[in-house]
Amino acid sequence: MPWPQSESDGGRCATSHGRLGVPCVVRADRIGDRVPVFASGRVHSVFEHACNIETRTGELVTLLAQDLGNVPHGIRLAGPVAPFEPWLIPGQNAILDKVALRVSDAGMTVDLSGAAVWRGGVAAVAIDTRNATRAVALRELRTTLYECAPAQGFAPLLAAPASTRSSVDRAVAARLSHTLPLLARATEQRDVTAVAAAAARLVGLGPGLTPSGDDFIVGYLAALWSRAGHENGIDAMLHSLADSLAPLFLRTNAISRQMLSDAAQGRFAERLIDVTGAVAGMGDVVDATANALASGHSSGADTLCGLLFGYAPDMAMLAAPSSPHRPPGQPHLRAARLERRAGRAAALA
Amino acid sequence: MSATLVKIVAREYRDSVSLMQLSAMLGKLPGVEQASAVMATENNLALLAEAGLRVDAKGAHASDLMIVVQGEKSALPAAIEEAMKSLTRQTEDNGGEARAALRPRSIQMALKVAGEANMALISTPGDYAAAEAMKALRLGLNVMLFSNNVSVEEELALKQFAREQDLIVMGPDCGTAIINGTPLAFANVVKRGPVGAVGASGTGLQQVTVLVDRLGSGISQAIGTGGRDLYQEIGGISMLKGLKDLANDPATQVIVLISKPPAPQVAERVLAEAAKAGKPVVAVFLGADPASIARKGVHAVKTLEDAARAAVAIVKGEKPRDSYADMPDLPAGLPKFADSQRYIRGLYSGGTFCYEATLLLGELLAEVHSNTPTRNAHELADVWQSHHHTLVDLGDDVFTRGRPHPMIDYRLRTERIVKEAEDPQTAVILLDVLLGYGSHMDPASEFVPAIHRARTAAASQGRSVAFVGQICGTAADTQDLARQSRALTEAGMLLTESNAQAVRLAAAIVAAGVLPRGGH
Repeated sequence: MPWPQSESDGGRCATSHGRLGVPCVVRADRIGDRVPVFASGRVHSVFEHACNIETRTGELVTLLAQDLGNVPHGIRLAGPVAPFEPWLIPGQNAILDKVALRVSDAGMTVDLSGAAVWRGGVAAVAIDTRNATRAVALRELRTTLYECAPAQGFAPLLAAPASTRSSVDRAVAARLSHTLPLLARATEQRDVTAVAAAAARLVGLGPGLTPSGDDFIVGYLAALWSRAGHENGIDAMLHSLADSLAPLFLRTNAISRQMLSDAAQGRFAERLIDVTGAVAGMGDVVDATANALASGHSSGADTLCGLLFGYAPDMAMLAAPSSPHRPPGQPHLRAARLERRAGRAAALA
Repeated sequence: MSATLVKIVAREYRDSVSLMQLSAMLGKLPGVEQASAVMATENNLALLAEAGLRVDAKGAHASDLMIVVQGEKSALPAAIEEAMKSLTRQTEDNGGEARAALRPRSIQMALKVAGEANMALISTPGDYAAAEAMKALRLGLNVMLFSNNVSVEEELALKQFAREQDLIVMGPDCGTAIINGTPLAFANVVKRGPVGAVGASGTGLQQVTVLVDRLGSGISQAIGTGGRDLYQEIGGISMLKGLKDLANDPATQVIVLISKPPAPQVAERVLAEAAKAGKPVVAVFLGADPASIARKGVHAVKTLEDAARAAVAIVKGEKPRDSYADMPDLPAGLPKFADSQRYIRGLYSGGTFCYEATLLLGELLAEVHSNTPTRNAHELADVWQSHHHTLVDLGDDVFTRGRPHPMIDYRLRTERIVKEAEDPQTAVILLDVLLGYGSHMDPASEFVPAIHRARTAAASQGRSVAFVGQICGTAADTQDLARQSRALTEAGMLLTESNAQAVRLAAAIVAAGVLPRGGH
């Protein structure tokens, strides 16, 4: 059987007795609200726990293992499955409709009939410096971020720009130190053109499958969507911004592009949403932050840098907490505890 | 002076952890001062220039992976080579062996890998299945065509071509076969032995092969033909070929033929060939009068169970009986059903089981309705709504559109069990439980909670419902027959050895109007 399943509700390793003409059926339990109803395409990229399918219109639909958080363009399986990599291969044809995603070349059907729609909207957060609870939440977010972030990506460069080592790192740090104040000012002035100009210097920038700059922009947009209900002008700016940013997204790869496109429409990954919920007082900030940090290698941290920047777009907020904390990349006991709790990193990014 | 070397790997998507590990590994190589493995975006290209790295990456795209190494000029080619090796190693680590096993992208390629294979199992969407089957036949391969939605015209063309090549096409819509001891698609793990079977019914083949195994004998080959093979248009080409092959097979002592009633001319041709097989043939053409089938050398029976029992009797040198049917005796003093409870509700995953049950129940009781109607039963007007005695094949297309077959996905059946129990007219719920490859890995885990819910629903209205069923499976099937039997029995299901026995028990229960022990 080409699609080994381990157990229970995630589906069965089984043939469908000549009805569908394919040998295996797995069930999905969630389907993101940005997943198109009908599409055909091909397998684009395959990772251990995630697989992207590129539709003919250039969108990505991501098939997610059960242990990953939902994403707006994702279909999450209901039960444990074997790693995707040996079975799904880039180039295989795929067809999506209301009831199933079929990758017939791999002999796989994902049954969508029981999948609930998942909507990736952020929690509304009022950024009020006089609100002590909110200030504590943001400090917790920043502290956890810098204590647990990996040594790659934006976080160490923002935390300790002077200590960077390679010429590439120094170039990134220089770009950030120039660009982020522009972005902060543009945001403050609700200047769509200036925001887009600053974002243009970040799109596709840095290491990672989804480059750090892309992750940062996603976090930044999550914060803006989160603030939009409480502050004048942000909602209008976001709606104009979606059009201004769209051409920039062509400058990065398809996986990042989909994530950015979702973000421009106010749709985000579940783990990031949980952080906004925690900042809004609906959850534990440390737990939510630790879970978000477990996304990819540096993607989680880069996204949270963007979120923190979007909530408090001043460099003081992004600077690393003062002693006794260390620079990122040197996890101490607390970080180790959080890493254990967060579990395995998502393979998607 | 430092030099820089760049390698662009087109459309290469690696997760961030892999890219970080690659960069770190390259940075540690002798003579390398710094290394970077990043996506070849505009900003990253600009960034490298800002960092003082002269990178020539003309034609690079944001979806490409860019590997950049800086250091001693002589060390850089080796570093890039090591990077490429590392990417290859990652691929292999991530299931390279299994991926390699899947690499054949055509039947020709698969044949090169498989060496001496002489059969292709084809499971593609129906639109492509006939073409793939013809390719396989042209390569000299027998074909098991699992796919459905193949037209009658295509089926005829394939089978005629196969006949010219002395090959067989099992299918289309062939869900069960056991070839040289290997179960294919939906099939059970049975002992090898002297009974060969050719069947136009998947679950029919499963029932016969399972019962032969349970009766202590074994199966030489079980050959599926597809449900339309004995239609007038096809002429029984595959059944005739299977019959001929089993007649020539020294390991086969007795042949069993399984089908719904064939077209008369086809039946005549098949039976004529069976009579000339040179070894005993047992024929079960469900719904046909055994007297009309019997020939010299052809023992005709009415049920799948009888076919298995007759075949095993012949193997043992005994004279097969015309019928092994016995109406079960129910002990006296059992509690009575409520007055309203007069009907059987059969919920089947196997189409042939439903058909056989409808035939048998139609002989025993009046007002039998089914979506697999027979001469003595009515067509069910609304398949979603039972009335009188109702037997439903839940594997029918109307139920499987957009969802897996009920042998895999029990949701539809478990919901219907509760619905039937809520009907005050329901006395007995009749079920088939299929084990073996392809089927649900733990049917009891689905049925037991459903039975409890159904009992609760009936009890809330002051009633009890009896559950009767058969498990079509062997002790060697992966689902653990003993555990399944125990769980279902403990839940109160009355289990019988065969589908026919289950039908007769259900009929006896409603006729007596009593609730046997086990049907709490």
